[in-house]
Amino acid sequence: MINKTDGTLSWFLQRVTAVGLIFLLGVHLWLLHYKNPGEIIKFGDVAIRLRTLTFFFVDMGLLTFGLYHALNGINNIIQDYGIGTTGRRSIGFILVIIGCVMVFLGGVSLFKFV
Amino acid sequence: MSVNLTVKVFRYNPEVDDLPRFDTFDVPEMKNMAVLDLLYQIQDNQDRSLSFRCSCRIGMCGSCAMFINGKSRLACRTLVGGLGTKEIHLRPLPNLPILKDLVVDMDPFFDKYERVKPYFVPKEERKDFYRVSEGADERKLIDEMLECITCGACYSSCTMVTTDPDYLGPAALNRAFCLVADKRDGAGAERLRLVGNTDGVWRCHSQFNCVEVCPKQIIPTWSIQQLRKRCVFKKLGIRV
Repeated sequence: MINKTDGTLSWFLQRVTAVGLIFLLGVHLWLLHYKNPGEIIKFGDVAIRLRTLTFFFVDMGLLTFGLYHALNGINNIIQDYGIGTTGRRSIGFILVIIGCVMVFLGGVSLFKFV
Repeated sequence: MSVNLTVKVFRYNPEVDDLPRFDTFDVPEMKNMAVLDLLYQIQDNQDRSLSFRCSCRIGMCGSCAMFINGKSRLACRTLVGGLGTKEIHLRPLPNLPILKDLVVDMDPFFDKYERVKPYFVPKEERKDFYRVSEGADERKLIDEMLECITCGACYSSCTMVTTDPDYLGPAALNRAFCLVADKRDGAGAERLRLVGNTDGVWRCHSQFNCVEVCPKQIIPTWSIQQLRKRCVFKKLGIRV
């Protein structure tokens, strides 16, 4: 029986988040290691840095894109084993909940510095 | 001086055997011998009960596809000399139920093939012929993909078919693309709906096993990518 779950958006967003991650990781690495090479920073400096919108959005972007990409990838692997429509929907639902919770927790942690 | 080939053949008759086994045969090698010639030799001279499928003997029908020395191939087009060894292992195609010895049940393969509406549906009633010139781009797009002989080699090599029995498989998706990309066909949107799901184009992981084994050098992975592109454009409302 053909499974009627449309995977178009999921496939497309996997590619979008992959490209996004490459870009954001590049920005992240540059900001942390190459913008001021040799700089020694303490937690207080990190806290000041995280108050800036650039860092906030880069880190939230990394968190959101990374989580989507990872959890969607796990969902994809699980679907490879033909577990049936009900199983797919249940696992998909659980992964969405995990993703939302982790984005929320990560967002709250980042927002504390703002 | 003729050299003997050692041929290990998978044997299983569900009516009499509890478990499958491998029978070993010694066959004198002949010049330009194909694996199909080998099988005929064994069947004629050593074991009349050996079962295998064949028909055209020239790589046109796809009937003799089997697993030869670790790869799905056509027995009639695989020269023994080209295998690089005197020991030949023959098994039935993977991913398909075994009927007897090297004969598999092709029903699951053709059931999935039928699901993509593999036949031409004319867009409009015409009184004349729709002319497509030989060098036209629209023809070049699908010409090579039309060569499929539905041998099942790609289906039997696909890892996704092994893990997900509902996956349509490379051959069905390749056929779907041939028709979706045909400007004369009127069922493109319906076919995209039939293949644009998690047991269709989105199941493929582009491992290229199908490309490696296709006796007609078709690239089903490319066809699947083209279908995906069309599915995404359709979803985003972009007209191609």
